[in-house]
Amino acid sequence: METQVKAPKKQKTRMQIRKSVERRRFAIQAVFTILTNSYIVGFIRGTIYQGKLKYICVPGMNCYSCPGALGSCPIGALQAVFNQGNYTNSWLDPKSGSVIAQPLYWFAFYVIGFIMLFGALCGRLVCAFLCPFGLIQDLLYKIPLPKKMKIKSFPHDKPFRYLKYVLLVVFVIVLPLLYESNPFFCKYICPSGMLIGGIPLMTYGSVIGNTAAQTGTGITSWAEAGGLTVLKMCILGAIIILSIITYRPFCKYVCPLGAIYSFFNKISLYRYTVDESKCTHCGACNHACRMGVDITKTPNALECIRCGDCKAACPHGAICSGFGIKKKQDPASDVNKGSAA
Amino acid sequence: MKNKSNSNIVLRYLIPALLLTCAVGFIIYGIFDGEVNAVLSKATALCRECVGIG
Repeated sequence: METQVKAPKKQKTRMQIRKSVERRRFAIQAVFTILTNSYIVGFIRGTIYQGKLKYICVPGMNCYSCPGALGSCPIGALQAVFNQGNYTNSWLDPKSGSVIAQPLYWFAFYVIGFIMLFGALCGRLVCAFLCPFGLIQDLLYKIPLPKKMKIKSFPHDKPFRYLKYVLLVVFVIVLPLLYESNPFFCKYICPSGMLIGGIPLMTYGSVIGNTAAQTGTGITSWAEAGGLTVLKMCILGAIIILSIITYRPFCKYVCPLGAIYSFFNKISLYRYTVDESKCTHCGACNHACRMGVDITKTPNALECIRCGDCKAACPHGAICSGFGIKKKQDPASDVNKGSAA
Repeated sequence: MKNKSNSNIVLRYLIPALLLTCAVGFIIYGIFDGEVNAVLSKATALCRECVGIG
């Protein structure tokens, strides 16, 4: 009789833990997004920040053409470096009549240095906590739909998860190296630039009128929109619709930055560990994971964005995470101790 | 057994430490190699490709 009374109370406590973990993550995401996009003048004047803070690459997907952006997007910056031509080693193409130059940089030390810095510290933790586009997708997934329409992860989607690695190699590295001044991923795929850069700037220009366009830092209006705008709006629309249905489709299938960070998951300072002596293989973590990772098999899987859902869901406190210097106590284990006592 | 756990601890911290050192080295090299100017010049002018107007 006593256990029947205690059972629902325990369940409620676990739900509270999961909600508080999620709330804390949202707070960090929101604060970081606001901090890195706090150039308010850009939103007022319909222009972008041109100061020296843009030397620094931010950890997440944050288009530098967003009116508020204070830092540089690492994927955009990577392509910008690969797009540089070496004109001391160039020749004239007789067919097109244009000058063809070899790439000035075959390796982007500066940008890769930043990515390595964030990756070596925390791997894909960046995706869950420090990426503005991740926050947008999280918010979209919160839009209520009938339960049948919400899919945690598409079934048998594993081959499609490799798409982001293909896009990284082809659109971010190879094509920008071959064709100068053409950031292929930003130009033909990235929905982040369209959402946080293109739409606000073009709308500002249409509604208020934009003198900043003359200085090359703003857009006159939606009248400038063309075929490329349509393509990018279609991609953005598809990502938005899919984000309402399934959890973080851009991170799972498209994001080249997530693809790079995924390689750091197994070797970063911040890691997940599963205590085999505590784990009962009840499947609670697997059920809670919206990225489709079985943490008991691969605690630092390439797809794990380290959101902490599995840790909060574990009824035995078997999942730990941290930088390893001081073992972080799982809040769930406190509950277990409490209930056990 | 003790040796194994020691080697695990070394690998646990050695690899990230090496990566972090390399990362700082790469950034410093990139600054002196001029890559940093390519980043700044792209980031401070409106990227027309990024915002979808070509």
